[in-house]
Amino acid sequence: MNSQIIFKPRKIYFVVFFATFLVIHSCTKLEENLNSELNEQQAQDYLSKHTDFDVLLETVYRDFDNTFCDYHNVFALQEVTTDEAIVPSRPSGWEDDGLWRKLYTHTWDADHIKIVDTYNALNKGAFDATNVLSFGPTTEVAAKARFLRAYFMYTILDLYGKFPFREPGTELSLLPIVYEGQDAINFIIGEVEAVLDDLPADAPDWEASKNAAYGLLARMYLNKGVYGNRTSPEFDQADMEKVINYADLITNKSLNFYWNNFQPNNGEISTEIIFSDQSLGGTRNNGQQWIMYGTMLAEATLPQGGGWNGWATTPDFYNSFTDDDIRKSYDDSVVLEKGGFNMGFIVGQQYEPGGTDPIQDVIVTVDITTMTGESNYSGVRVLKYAPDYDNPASQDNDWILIGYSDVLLMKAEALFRNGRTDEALDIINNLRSNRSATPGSLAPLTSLTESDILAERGRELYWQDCRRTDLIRFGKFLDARLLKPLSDSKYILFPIPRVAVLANENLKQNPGY
Amino acid sequence: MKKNNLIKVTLLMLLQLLFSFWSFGQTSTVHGTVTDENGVPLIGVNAVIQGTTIGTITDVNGNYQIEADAGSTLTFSFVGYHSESVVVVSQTEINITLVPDVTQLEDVVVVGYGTSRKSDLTGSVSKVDNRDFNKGISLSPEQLIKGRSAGVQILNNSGAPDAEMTVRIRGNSSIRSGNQPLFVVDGIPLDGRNTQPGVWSNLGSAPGANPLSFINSNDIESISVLKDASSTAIFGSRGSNGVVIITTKKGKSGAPRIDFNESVGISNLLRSPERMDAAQYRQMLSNRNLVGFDGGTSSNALDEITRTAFIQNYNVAISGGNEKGNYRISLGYIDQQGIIKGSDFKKYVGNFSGRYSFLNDDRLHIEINLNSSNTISTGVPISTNANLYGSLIGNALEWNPTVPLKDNGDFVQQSYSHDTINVPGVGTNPLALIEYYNDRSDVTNNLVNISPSFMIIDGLEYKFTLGINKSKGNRTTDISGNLYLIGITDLGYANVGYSVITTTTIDHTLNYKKKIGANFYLDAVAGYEYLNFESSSNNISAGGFSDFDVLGSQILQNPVDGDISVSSYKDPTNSLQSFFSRVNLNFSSKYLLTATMRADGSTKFGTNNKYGYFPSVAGAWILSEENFIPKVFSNLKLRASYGKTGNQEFPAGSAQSRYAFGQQSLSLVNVANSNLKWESTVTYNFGIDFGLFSDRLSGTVEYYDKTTSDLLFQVPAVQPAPEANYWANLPARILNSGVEVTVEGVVIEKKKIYWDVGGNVSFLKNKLTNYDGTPILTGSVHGNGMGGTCQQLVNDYPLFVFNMLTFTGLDSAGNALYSEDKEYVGDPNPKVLLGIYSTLKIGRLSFDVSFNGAFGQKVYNNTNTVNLAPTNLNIGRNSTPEIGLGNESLSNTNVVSTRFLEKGDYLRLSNVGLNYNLGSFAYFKNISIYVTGQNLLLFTKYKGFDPEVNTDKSVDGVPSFGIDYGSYPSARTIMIGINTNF
Repeated sequence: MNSQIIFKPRKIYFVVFFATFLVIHSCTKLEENLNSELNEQQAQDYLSKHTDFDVLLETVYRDFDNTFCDYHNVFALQEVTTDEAIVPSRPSGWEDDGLWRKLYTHTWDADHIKIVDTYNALNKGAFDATNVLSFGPTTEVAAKARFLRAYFMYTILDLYGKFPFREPGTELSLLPIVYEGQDAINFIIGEVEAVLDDLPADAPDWEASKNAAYGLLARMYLNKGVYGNRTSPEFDQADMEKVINYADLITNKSLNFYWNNFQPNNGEISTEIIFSDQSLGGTRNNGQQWIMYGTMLAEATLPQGGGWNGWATTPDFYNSFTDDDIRKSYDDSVVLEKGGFNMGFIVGQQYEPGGTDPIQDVIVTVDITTMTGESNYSGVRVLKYAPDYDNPASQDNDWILIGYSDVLLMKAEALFRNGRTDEALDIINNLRSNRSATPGSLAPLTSLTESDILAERGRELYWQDCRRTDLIRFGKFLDARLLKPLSDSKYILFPIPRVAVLANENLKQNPGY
Repeated sequence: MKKNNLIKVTLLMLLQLLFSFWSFGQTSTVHGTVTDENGVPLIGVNAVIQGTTIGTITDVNGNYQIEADAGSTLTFSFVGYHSESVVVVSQTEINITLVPDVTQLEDVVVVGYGTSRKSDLTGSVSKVDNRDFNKGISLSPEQLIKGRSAGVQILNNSGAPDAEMTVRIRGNSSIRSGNQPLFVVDGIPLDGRNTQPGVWSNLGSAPGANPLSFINSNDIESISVLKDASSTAIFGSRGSNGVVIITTKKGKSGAPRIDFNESVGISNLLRSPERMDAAQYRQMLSNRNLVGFDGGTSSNALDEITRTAFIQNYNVAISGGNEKGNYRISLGYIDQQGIIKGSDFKKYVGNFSGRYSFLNDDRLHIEINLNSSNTISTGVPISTNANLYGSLIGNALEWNPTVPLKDNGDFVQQSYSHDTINVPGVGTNPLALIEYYNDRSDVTNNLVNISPSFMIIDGLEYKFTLGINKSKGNRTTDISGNLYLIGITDLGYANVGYSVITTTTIDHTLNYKKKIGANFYLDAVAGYEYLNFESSSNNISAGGFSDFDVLGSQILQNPVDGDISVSSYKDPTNSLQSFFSRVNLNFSSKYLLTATMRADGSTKFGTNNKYGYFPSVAGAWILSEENFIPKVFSNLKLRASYGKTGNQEFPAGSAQSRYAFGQQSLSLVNVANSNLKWESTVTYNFGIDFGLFSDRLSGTVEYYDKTTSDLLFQVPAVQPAPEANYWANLPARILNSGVEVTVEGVVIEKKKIYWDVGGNVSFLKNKLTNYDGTPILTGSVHGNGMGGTCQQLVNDYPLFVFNMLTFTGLDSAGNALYSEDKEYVGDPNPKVLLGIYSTLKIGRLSFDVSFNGAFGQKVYNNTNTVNLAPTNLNIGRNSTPEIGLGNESLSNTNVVSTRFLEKGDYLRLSNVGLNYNLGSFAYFKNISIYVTGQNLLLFTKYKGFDPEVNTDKSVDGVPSFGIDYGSYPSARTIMIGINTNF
């Protein structure tokens, strides 16, 4: 064969060969398909087909989970910094890099992990609510989103003294403006009042509703003076009237048996819940069950086994109760049968399920003497929400964000601050009568002082995310207490996380940090 | 190109093929013998009549016979030898002697998209051939070159047979995960991710498995490690962490042969942390008035969960070939028990490789590689982040040594009661953990590539490569409700995970080699590459089973709906499109210049940065070719290189806004960043290669300086934001610099005795600079009562510097004293890496030994912090004799402090091999029997199992380094085996 002859066609083969491949694999445009997820445009298209926006609102509701209900975030900041909760390290653990100790003794800094995480979690809630608005929803959806956003913004304001804010649709790379102090509370109050009319009147407790907005407004007006001057707040008479008015606007709520509020089926049986974070038994939990594991002993029989033996309450707080008070201790038949312990404050000899066979050597004592290396059974344990033995993995109990008794006590406090002491006393005594261990056992108060109101709030609302706010309003937050000397005034506010200050030049660190 | 033309061309092609089989003219028979220069017959030599496809090969005696026309030319060719041609006139016997082709035999190093003669290299490449691999059993290829390559730290993350390895080429250069080098197998770059689905339970997350274990070590011909930018820049945005190129064995010309290898062995626990035994424990209990915890017997939980494990390994390979093609088919099987009871690893690998030449002048070549493997592993409950429930190792370490693990055949759980003895609150029973935990992974991997190449004109070759790597993993994990553990007791737990990763590679390259004039040689490559990575997974987990006699993973429908959780996910598109080129110039074999360029486009990059450009340039001067260099230098070469490489190991989809579906919800889950791009590393490398006395003493000294910038990192989002962090390029720098010295020498080279010694030492420095953010916290600590982190990324410190309280001793009451504040107290990065290896041959006996070590690094012993803390004694757990029998206060909790930050220096006798060649017997050739020992000795002061450890303690994707937490302990292994071929 003559190589001259075949050379040319061979060249052609090559060209064909090469060209074919190049055509098949001509340059890609490198477009990124998100597969399991939606990009901005796809999300817009999706929402144009699902105009109830349930999926976006659901994201915001789920932002309450753990943020308010688990022992890690708002709960840790509102409770462990007060006399209601103390977390010493023990053989069972809880050293945790000293983070609990720093909260209790008011020695935290701007890098404290719970302070950072809570700030991020609350801001995520505010963001997700804002994001609903950027898709142009219906008036009612927008009203719900703005209410929910207000709830998050208010919580950030209460803890950190300020909050960053972006209008819906703003580029996330742009720096948000910052609302602070009196401007901040006025802005949030304005937000909620603006949407009152558009909120539904008959929504379930776990959704944004008129009742929920009234409750939040009452809380915000009651505390409004605090945000102008935290160390010595002044309470404006008109603000207190607002508290009373909004409390009175709440419909279809009444007091019921105290422990109905904390049962696994509290969403169905309680008549007191105004706004809550819903749990779906067995399916999806809001995280509140971990508080129970955090406080209960390893020897206790909880739905998933023993507890993690950590959290307790201080002796002083425990001693603010009398035995006539159902809120101190209640033998729930199911809990006693399956767990062997009471609801409320757990102290003394512990028992096997059934409540009759003592557990050898397991005796809870009241006193706590050290923050480091405390023994396993020191300190009264607190069980507020009932264990759900039917849904061990995911408890059903809804977490109360705003309760009717809270609103009643807010109203009483506002009446008291406006000099209407008798009306206030009526409300409180009515509540005490309901909370008696046996009918009428809890004696009515004959007179009323500020500290009576604070003490009643403590007994009614312990381990419900509000102690720090209350102590600040009553000027007692910085006070010396067990194992904690008087704190520097800077601790009245949590610091803005250092990373957040660096990321946003509009956001200034709180004084002293 | 029109369709018609295509048909015409195809027809022509077929015709041409037909014609080539024709032959012409009168024939006569020619025969003869082909031998090498020493007169030894050569088997499998091609004898071909030039210009035809008529040919034959020599038989076992070197003889051939062929029909040839008078006037035709007979060409004899054989790999590794110069071809010889003889014109047939009237001879009937033609005997030929072939002369070895030294240039062809010279060491060829596989580099990116091509090969290079070792003497032509300008960059920093270290190559390890299979004869120099570490001896013994190895489930993954990295183990083969551990300690063999300077500047390369290869670290077993734990002692598990299929443990992940941390491979750091010239230090840590990233502050997020994805620090592993790029692995390339026969030209196909791997995804690098592992297909074994992860599993999370109350016991924590299981550590990952090695993604490279699908390769059979016995199939590997050589491993090249590309270290500087001159050699890695051609891999562009995936080259920053260095590149490891694995080349598999190919068939060789000659008659078919069968290679057979069998080895069996045992392994056992290397060492363990000190704890009190039963007698010491009892003494402690009485000293400390805690006698209620005395169970009255004696037990050693660690002994009970470990065992002498058996290993077997079989390999068969059939190979052969001639001038027109070669093939190799191999099968390998490994069954390796772990030293922890219940852990087992089985691997089946089949491999085929072939290379065939077509057309009468061999212009068309087709190369095919096919690797198919299946690995089946059964795991034990060892996790990287066990909390208060502990994982297997922690529970074994802290088990009360006076309490038996089994009583009357039942596991002792929750408490121990026997006669009058009643010990409350015993820990989780480690034997029960093994018994009630059932974890099985089944991973199948297929790696196929086909690459035709075509010589267009002499010197210009086009090559196409199509490679597909598909890996599928299945994992079922069950924890029985019979185990006493919060969240598990009477509930049980089951998880079934499935994941699949597919990587597609398409390459077109044009390679031009040309000698220009007498002294000038050009070798250039240009190419296009398309890479596509797909990954998806799904998972079902459930708890709350009504029966534990059946595995939960087989009855996932059994629990109530709410206790079953399901998830599935497919990664966003992840494709790379690249253009690259390399030019090598060689002038007079004295001056070498290499320049490379790659442009990488990636779907992952933000819209403002779709393409990255990665150039490099390098030069070398072969001084030994100059007359003024004394002849004692058989080789002396100076090298210098500069280049830029990238790293794009961040999750696909990070540049865009993404809305993810949850349970009835849709959430924005990412802060978009359209500027997001690769991380860049600029490397300078200077090296001297030398050889003295005809290369009896040779070595390399190199200095490098790497600066990594535009660090990929999840920076804090400006709140309010959907996520706390988002991916961005951080304006900070990571500096890595170091010196590497490799020296190898032949000490004795006599007829019966041969002894060589080699070694390498690397000095490394590492620092984060130009960073003005808050310290980045990583290195989470876990365990009962443990929280927070112990490492930081902070300006002007080495990466992952330890930050914790300094332990200053005990006061008179035995209370632990600590510094007021946390301090920067140690560097987990080794300052010196060492490898030493030697071979001694006496007659038929050969002896190999290798050591490796790392020095100057600290290791945080999270295991001992948690599992041997003083406060443990309060609740009837174990601790060290020092703590238990001293006067230390038991209210000392497990504080993270320098008390458990230990020196991690070690020197390890990593491999010993003794091989005796029995020669040939009957049909069997080259029978050799051998004994190998791995990990025989470990010299260290570290108090844990092994200082060579790296438990994954990452925080939000920021990796950790040098933390030991409950990891699988290291084993010592001894194997005996036999090799032969026939």
